[in-house]
Amino acid sequence: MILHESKRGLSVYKKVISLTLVCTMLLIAGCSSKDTSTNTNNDSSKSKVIPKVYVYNNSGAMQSGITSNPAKLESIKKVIVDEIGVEPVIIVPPTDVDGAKQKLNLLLSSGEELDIYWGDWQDYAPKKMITSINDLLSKSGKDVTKNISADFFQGMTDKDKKVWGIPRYTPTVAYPVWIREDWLKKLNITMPKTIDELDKALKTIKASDPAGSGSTITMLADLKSLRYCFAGAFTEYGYSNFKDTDGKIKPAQSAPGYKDFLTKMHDWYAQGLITKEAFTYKTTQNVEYIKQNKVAATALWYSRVSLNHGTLNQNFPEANYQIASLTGTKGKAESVYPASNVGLLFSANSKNQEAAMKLMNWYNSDVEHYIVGWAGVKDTDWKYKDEKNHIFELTNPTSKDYAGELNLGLGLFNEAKAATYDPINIKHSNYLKDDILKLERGKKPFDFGISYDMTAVNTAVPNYADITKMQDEQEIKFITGTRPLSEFDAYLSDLNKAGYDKYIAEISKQYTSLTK
Amino acid sequence: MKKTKSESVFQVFDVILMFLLSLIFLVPFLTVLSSSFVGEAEISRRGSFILIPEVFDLSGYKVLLGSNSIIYHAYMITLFVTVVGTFLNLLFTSTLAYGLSKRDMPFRNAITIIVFITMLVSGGLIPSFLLVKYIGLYNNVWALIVPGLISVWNMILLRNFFMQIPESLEESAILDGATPIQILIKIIIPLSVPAIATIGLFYAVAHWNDWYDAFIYITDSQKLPVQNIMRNIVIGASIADLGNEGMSDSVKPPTETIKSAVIIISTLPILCVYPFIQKYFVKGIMVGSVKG
Amino acid sequence: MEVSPVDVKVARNLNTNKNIWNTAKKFKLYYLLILPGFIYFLIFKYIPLFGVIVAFKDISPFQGIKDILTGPWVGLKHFRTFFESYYFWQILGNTLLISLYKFIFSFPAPIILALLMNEISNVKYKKVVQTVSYLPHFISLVVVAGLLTNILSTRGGLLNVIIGLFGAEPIFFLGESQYFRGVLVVSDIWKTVGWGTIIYLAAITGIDPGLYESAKIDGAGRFKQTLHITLPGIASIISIMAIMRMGTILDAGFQQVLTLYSPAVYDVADIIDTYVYRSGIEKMQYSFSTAVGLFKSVIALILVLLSNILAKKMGQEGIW
Repeated sequence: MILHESKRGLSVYKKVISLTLVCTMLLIAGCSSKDTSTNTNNDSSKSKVIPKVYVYNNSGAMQSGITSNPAKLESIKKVIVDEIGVEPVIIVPPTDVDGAKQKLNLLLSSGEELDIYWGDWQDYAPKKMITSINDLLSKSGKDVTKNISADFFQGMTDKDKKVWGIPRYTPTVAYPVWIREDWLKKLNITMPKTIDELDKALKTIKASDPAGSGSTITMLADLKSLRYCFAGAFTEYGYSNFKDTDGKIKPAQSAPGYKDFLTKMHDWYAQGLITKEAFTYKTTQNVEYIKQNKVAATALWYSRVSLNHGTLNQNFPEANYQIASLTGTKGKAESVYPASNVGLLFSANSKNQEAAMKLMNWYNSDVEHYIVGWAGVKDTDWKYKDEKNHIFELTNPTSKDYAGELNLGLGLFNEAKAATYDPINIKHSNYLKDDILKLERGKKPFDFGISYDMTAVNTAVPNYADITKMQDEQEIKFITGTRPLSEFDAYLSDLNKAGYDKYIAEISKQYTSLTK
Repeated sequence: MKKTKSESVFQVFDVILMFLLSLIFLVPFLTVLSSSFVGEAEISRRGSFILIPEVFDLSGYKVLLGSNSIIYHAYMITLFVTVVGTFLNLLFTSTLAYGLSKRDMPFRNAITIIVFITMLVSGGLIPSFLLVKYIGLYNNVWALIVPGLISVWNMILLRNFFMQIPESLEESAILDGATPIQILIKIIIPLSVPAIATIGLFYAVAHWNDWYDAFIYITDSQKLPVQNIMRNIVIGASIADLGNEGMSDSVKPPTETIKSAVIIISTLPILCVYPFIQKYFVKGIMVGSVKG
Repeated sequence: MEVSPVDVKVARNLNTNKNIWNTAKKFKLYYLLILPGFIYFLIFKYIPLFGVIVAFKDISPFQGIKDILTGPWVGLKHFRTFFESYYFWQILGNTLLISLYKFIFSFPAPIILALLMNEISNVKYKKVVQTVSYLPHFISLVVVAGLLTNILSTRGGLLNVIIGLFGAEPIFFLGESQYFRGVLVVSDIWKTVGWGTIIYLAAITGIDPGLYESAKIDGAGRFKQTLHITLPGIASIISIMAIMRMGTILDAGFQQVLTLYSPAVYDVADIIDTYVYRSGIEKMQYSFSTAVGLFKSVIALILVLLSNILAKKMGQEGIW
């Protein structure tokens, strides 16, 4: 019996071993052909030494998640190599932001060759992992400073006027209130211009149920968007820090009028004007409802509507979202979304900093270069539809050959200048071209242009995350009515238990020294 | 022996209960299956999870499988890692498990504790990464097999299965002068086919579904397994869900169609293979072995 | 001559020492057998373990081993930051509660299901039920979250439609603190129960059928057989699984919570891992997360120790 069993056991082993051998042979065959092809590609390029710039492209350009066809990538690279004699070598990050950060950490910790990458300069500068680029910019980056205004560099500059990277994000008005103008027309309402008019319009829309069968969602929102869309109507500086009467710099929560803002939001929620499940929806749910022709108004990040408008129109051609520019008792309702400290950083261990700057200079020297990085080789992969306005058209829009590895010129200063001629995305490209940088539509933060030293903040308030958690948690409770607004003052003093007063002391101290 | 009345009632109840449970397990999966065949236009109109599509649309699968031939390499990698990886897993796990199943072995408890603690404490991602790099496995397919060679959880389970085999079965072999490895191969493993099959299944499915190891150790996109390719395409949407807005909006997130198609692509191969190995989970090996 | 008790003790010890090394020699080949596996652990688990010292330093981000070894020591600073958090007790409590609920409901579920499956007489039907029960295991948590949001929606979600048929108001499951943990536990059971039966069914096959034969002869029905033969037969596996589960009690299902929670339910759903995850978004917190991880490991170790002792007291096999 045992012998019989053991025979069966051995035959299982035989099967496994033979399967393994087959797979190994297949793999070796597959891998070796792959390796030789990439090797020959590299060797066949110039015999002269071309500096290689290693770029970790976590700029957000590669969100499709696919990688390019190697031949296509080489053809685009060739354009750059031919024009400036620098070869960009792209390290592709994972698609998600957290994964990209983790991978970057691994690359940095292992000493892999890396010249430039995107990140928050405040994380790396104190540890001397990146260098300031003032000299590099004046030597090899003249077009960068020409293309990107000094304003935009504010987020990347420290108190000693050292510039720590090329900015990636600019201040924007990214939280418009989009409303379905076609529905407003049907109900004979004009586009609201004040909070009160919006209030009336929302109520009328809810009562008339334009989407039918009770499926209308009057307004989609999330907490952050409500703050940036509406706080300005109730507080002097919108959703931003401000200088209180005692001379200290305090966050928006302490501003006179913030409670009124929460009260109004609560009113809207209680009357069903902000949809009941708003605060549990993730992006996909919001986008889904928008595309299904159910949403009358949105207080969300602008692209939830602009990027999906084309798809919406495919099924519902008469749908038309327009922006409502609103004011309230304290003025403009929208708050400008400030630039962050995130930008393109230059590694201190880089061997080719000047080549890296030359590369970035190329992207900023001509909008057409930005388009090449975005879409590929001119006339092969794309051509102009309107050369004056830099509107271009992809030769093969559905092709997945190029995934954007070399799209290094990302930033609104470029994105706002050129656009794909893509009828589907017209709403989005128009927004980038006409609206997003028009900061006049909203209120600028009180401390606009000031970069606080986050290392010092984190030392003074080690549990800063507690403050943001309490703010998010409790303000949602106020809005949904789970907590009565009469407890607002108690909430403010609770914030001190989470370190709020320490935070105030720290940024007040920094503000004073930064504005001396 | 005839069943009692209450036993028959219970049988009926059990069958009905299993049927209801099966529905609860099956229907969501079928929804995911049919949602994977819905086109962008229909999903925009009707919402993400559709039980019966109006129009059969393969665009989700085209996006995933048509992504410039990288998917072919990815499948080779996944296949290799799953087959070779599982085999090596079983080899190392069963030898360790069998050795530690010997209750009389001196220092057995100490060794077990030393091994077990690694399941609870870890040095973190970066030291492991540095070690793999130092060994020279960085960006190498073997990094998907060797660092995860033995799972403590699986090993302890297998060890306990081995411990349940009566020692008397080994005694005659020991008297005949058999070495531990001979006993393992000729006696223990044949008697533990369900256990080995189970642990093997756990390892194999883990390899098939794993994206994390390749995410850390592989940079060459030609060497990524299937799950990483899929995940990269899908993850944009999920992470956008978590509220990170500071990203370029130039690319639209994929729809639920693609997420559903990924699940179907990953699951179907395993579901096809499973019926062939189900027979190894059959009972009855122990019959007569004590008496025989 | 009288032999003093001390001498006897010394002699006995000497004897046992000699015995240990003698026995060890007998097990020579067994040591050889476990050597490869043991070396694997030493290399791939113990060498990277030096990374825990990061919990006692201030390192974020850094450039390689040099930084780990020469970075500034800060002692227990990160632990103190963690313990002094205003929300420390809330997240600790949430973590333990969610784990406890899952242990009470999710842990026994596969065992019960395995026993019920075992009772199915029709082999084909049994195989189909088994295979179908594995399907939820393969549906990713992100898609499960999407499905749940759909079903639980107050705007025509399936569950609320059913509730409406009974005349009740729709329930906002995902947004209300009193229901959210229930959603976590029930969806966790749905996703894991089928796959979890595999190990128990494998264990059931190892039970000597002869025991069932003799029980039947003694007049025991299926239920008594299950109680007195099947359960004791798989008790050792159950006990091992329970002990090992104690080791993950402070994880509480990070991915699942992350895909389902929102600030509206932070007070019941924010667990240690989600809290640390959000802190990491504000700034790169490598040292802090390592410190919290170390804290979790220590607690896990203690719990495993205690449950191992408990298991042995109950006459079951432990980890050691």
